[in-house]
Amino acid sequence: MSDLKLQVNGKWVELDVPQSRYLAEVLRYDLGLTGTKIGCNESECGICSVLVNGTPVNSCIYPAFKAQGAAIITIEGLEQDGRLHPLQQAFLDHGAVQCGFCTPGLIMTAKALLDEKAAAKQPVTEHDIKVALKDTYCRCTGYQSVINAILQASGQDVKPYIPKTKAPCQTIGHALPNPDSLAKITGRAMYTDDFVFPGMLYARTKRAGVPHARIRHIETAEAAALPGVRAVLTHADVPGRQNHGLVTVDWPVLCSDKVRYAGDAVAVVAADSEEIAAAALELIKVDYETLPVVDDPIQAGQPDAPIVHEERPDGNLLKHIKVRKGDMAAGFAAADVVVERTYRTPMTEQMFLEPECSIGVPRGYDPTAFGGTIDPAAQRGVQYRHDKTTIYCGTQIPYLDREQTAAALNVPPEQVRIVAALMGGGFGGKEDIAAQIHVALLAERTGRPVKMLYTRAESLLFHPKRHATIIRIKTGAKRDGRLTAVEAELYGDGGAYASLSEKVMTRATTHASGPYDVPHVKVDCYAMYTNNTPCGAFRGFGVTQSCFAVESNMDLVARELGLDPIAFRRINALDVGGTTCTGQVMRESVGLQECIAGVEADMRAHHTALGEAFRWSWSEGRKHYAWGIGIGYKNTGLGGGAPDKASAIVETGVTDGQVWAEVRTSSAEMGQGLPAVLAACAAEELGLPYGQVRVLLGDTDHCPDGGPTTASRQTYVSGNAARHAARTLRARLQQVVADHFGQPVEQWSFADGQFSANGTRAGLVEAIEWAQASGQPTWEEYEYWAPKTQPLGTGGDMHVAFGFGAQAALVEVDDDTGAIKVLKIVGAHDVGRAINPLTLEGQIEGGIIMCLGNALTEHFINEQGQAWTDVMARYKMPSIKHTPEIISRIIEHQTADGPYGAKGIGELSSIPTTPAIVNAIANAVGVRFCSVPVDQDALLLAWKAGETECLCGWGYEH
Amino acid sequence: MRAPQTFEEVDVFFPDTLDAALIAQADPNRRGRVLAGGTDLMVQWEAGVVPLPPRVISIKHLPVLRQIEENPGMLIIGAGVTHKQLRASPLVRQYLPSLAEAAATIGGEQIQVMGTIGGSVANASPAGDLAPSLMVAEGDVVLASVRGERRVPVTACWTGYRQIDCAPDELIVRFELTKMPAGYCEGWRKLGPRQAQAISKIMGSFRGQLTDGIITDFKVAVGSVAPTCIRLYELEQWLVGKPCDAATCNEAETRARAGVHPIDDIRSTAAYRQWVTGRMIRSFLQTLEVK
Repeated sequence: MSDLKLQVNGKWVELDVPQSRYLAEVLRYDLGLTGTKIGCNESECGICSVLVNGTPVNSCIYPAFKAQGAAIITIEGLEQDGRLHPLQQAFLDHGAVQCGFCTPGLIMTAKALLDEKAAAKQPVTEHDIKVALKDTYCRCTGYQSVINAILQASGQDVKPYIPKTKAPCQTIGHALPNPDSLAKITGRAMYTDDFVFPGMLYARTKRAGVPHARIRHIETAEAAALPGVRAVLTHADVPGRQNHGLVTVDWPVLCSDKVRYAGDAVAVVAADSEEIAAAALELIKVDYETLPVVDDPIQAGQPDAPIVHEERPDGNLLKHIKVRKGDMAAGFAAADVVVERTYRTPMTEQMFLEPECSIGVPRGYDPTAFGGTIDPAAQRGVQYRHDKTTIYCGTQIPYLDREQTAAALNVPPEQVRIVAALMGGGFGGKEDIAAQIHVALLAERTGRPVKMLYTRAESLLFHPKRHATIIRIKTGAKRDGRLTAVEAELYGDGGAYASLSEKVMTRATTHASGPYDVPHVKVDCYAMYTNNTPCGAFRGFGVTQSCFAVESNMDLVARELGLDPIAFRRINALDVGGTTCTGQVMRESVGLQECIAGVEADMRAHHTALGEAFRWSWSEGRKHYAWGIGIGYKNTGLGGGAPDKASAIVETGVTDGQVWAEVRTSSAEMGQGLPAVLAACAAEELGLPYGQVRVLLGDTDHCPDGGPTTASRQTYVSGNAARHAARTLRARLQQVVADHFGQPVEQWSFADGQFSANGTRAGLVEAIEWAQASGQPTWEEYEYWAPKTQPLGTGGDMHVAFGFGAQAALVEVDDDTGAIKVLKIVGAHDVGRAINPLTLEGQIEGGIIMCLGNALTEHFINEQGQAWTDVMARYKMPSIKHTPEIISRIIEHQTADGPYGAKGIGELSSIPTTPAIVNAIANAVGVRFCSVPVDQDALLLAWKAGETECLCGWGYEH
Repeated sequence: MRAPQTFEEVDVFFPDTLDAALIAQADPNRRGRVLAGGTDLMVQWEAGVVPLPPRVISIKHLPVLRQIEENPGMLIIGAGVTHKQLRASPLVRQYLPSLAEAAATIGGEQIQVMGTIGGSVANASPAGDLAPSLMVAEGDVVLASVRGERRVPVTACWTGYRQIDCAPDELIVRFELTKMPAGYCEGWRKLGPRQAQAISKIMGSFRGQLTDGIITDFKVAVGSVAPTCIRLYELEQWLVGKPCDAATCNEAETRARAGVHPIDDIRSTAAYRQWVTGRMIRSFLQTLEVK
């Protein structure tokens, strides 16, 4: 240990720490400055950036002693006299904050750039920003808002990019920052790893490391004997249900007889420090009999394939999903042109920037027993009392976490409490159980709080990904451009456990004829078990994959027919009166034609601005340019007959003469902007300013069940719950006011935050005070049920609503190298109603960039069940350098039951981008890729070899 | 002694002077793994790719290693000079333009200010971004130890895959590189699947002179096609005396492809690297012609 002196945010501190301690650890754990986040511990993501003597460094691997005597500035040091730094204000104004986990890193890196440019008296350009921030990732925003915010903060007049929408109501339809954004830009926002409890232990998980093996013996005695180790648990220590699972309960809490993928958990350790826990893992010895590995979904269906779950009756088949509509023979007989191709998509990774973290606090925990206290002022969100097993975590489904944890603990669900912390991104990857059950078991065993923070490597190894798929699709059409039939066969690699495979692959199946009115459709999908990492939810939920196949085939058919790709799509696009492949008749809210027309107009406008006629493709020297188009749709809500409901509480009160409201529901915020939607709904109904509505999410003791945050459903269901709760509460207050004046309630009306009747007026303040005085509740809980849906195969309404979108990509391909650049994306999305255009645009831009990665760079590589992608540096996701210009149109075909007509957007924007880009590449160089990501190697070699189509496997073989 | 499991257990030494560093390195019991920015090593250690050493010596902060100076024929660049310094230095931009260009593309701001030229060379990756520019500039790597200084030609400093001619007690202290003469030009290209962060699939630099349409001097180096960055000497010799025209470009492209023998790996295929090497040479010749 030695003496470290640092000036942190203007204050000198002295610490006695080892010479090797990292700066991020000193800041976060020794000084409690948790605004600095750690995303990867490999200097890859850049979000841990702080300034050392004005220079941004990745503090996660920066030895603190290198900063001896230096001035450190962290995100907490930016506010001056209570005033936000211009960068903070600009990030707020531009909606450049979503999950907020990367925000401190982006802001600090940008600050160094601004300071440097200001000192040199030079203006900041977009190019400067892209150079400086290319190693600072953001997985939510898509960077366009970040660039604009930094330009604004540098003193330039750059307005937030907000597409035109319908005239707003009082609050609905206004561009407003998410209520939690202020905490995120100042570093005050609390994510799970930011919580510290007196007496807290640190836990690690012993993972299988082998993809398929029988467990002969697990030896933990040596690990348990290591000084500082407080508990080592195996399957024998799980008192209740041995497995968890969201749909099929097949995933062992801790493996007993066999392991089915390399990330399987075999034992967990809690110790006084993370280092001791890590050392203990090395001492746990597991004797394995290795088994043959199945790592491909088609191979998994072969009779001689190794079986992943021997107890299942159908071998490795998890689910066969079917769609049948019309008469296939007739459909293809009527076709003049038939195009059949096979497409492949790889496993991809959500790469939320916050690795999974859970803290279990035992029932009856008393911090004073460990010589400490809990200071809720310092740790916002922390609870005073822990009268039941409590789990702090980032989760997309708090109530299912509670249920699954309770089952494992063998206690009723009411004896477990989930407190959702802010989530540093989820994208579907935080729906399954991570360490929630493990920390609960360890906490109850040791009687102490236990934190389990996954390393990035462990996060990559463990959590469910997007399904790799093989999709064969056969499309028939008549000369006039009418589609006659679509037949498709899909294989989905579900990995070792069911997770949400059945649901995801169902969505892939039901969307496999695209957003078109096709008379004859037959789709068969096989969701298979393999020894790969499990696959589950990831933004797009199967539709990302099938849309790529459908839209690629559509371009091929258009070419065969000699039709313009846009005209061909417009002939067949779903409209009101059309029927989906599952037999759902569209009665309303189908803005697809308008989306396509909007995109076409924006493509043409691009050329008009250059004083030239529209053209699909052209070349300039070594560079080849082309547009490509993709259209897509995505269900809102669970559908398929699943009961789809959400509950919310809206409470009002008066503090210091000012009315406030609070919306509470368990629904999750992972950066998508749910608090903004809920606050807007309540503000609108209660006539309150938006800023006077608070939102509390995800605490199962205080928030009613909002259901899973998945399927682009929260705006629709929880938005409706909040809206109805607020409306019901308002009605009650109106009754209170009417009673107060002794008048019939029918004579009263409500407008602009005031009740009035016959010239008499009463404000909300009075109404609430009168209600309280008369002992009436000033809160209301509302359970909203979405309209009933029908199971697949029964016809009728399978979904309550669909979002529709069209996107076109302009790409440049270099014929020296095959390098592909996306220059521009124009998109139009029918969202029903834009509740908040600012957060909506954030969802659109972020979805587009994520899907751009899906098209060009992203590939989670498995080899024989072992992940090659074992660190973040081995997963290539788009950085700020990849951000093209994005032109966005909002189409608002309201849906009857949606709140103010709104439907989902979270996934839709991330669906048509891939085929738009791949179609553009085909138009540019004449090589059609039937697989993604489009690798520049394979593209160049195929192109030079004169090939016109290319299907790469999941490795890089060509 | 048990190998450290975490960086916390590593003995880290920050010497005050270069002499103190050299004295420590002379003693096998005090000698540490050299850290000169740490953008490669720290990451490899954290990822568990490379085992942690018991001792580390960090030298980047020593002022004597942070300087860029010139004499009439050479630029003298300290081993602790960062990528950002290289990118921004008027001297480097004027006399070693392809080195400045290469340095500018390495990482975002956080890597730019941490990574150093000495660290990059010592890391000896065949995909090291700075290597081709150093190879075409020519000059010496200067190593120091308590025994004195030793010079190694920069074209010979890498002896194999991730190997460098540097004794255990030596530190790279500076580079003495030949300035680009008047009338010459340089160029640099890097091709990767993702320009920002990917470790490149292939990169190269050239320095050449064109006199009345005839190539009078040409040096070219390519990285990521062999265990070390390589010069294409045969091609260089063939090019001198040729007119810089389409026929020469075509022939040079073919010869360049035949002159490299890359391997397939998860980042790229041999066929792709060969093809692109040819296209890179063509683009270099075209640059020479234009400038």
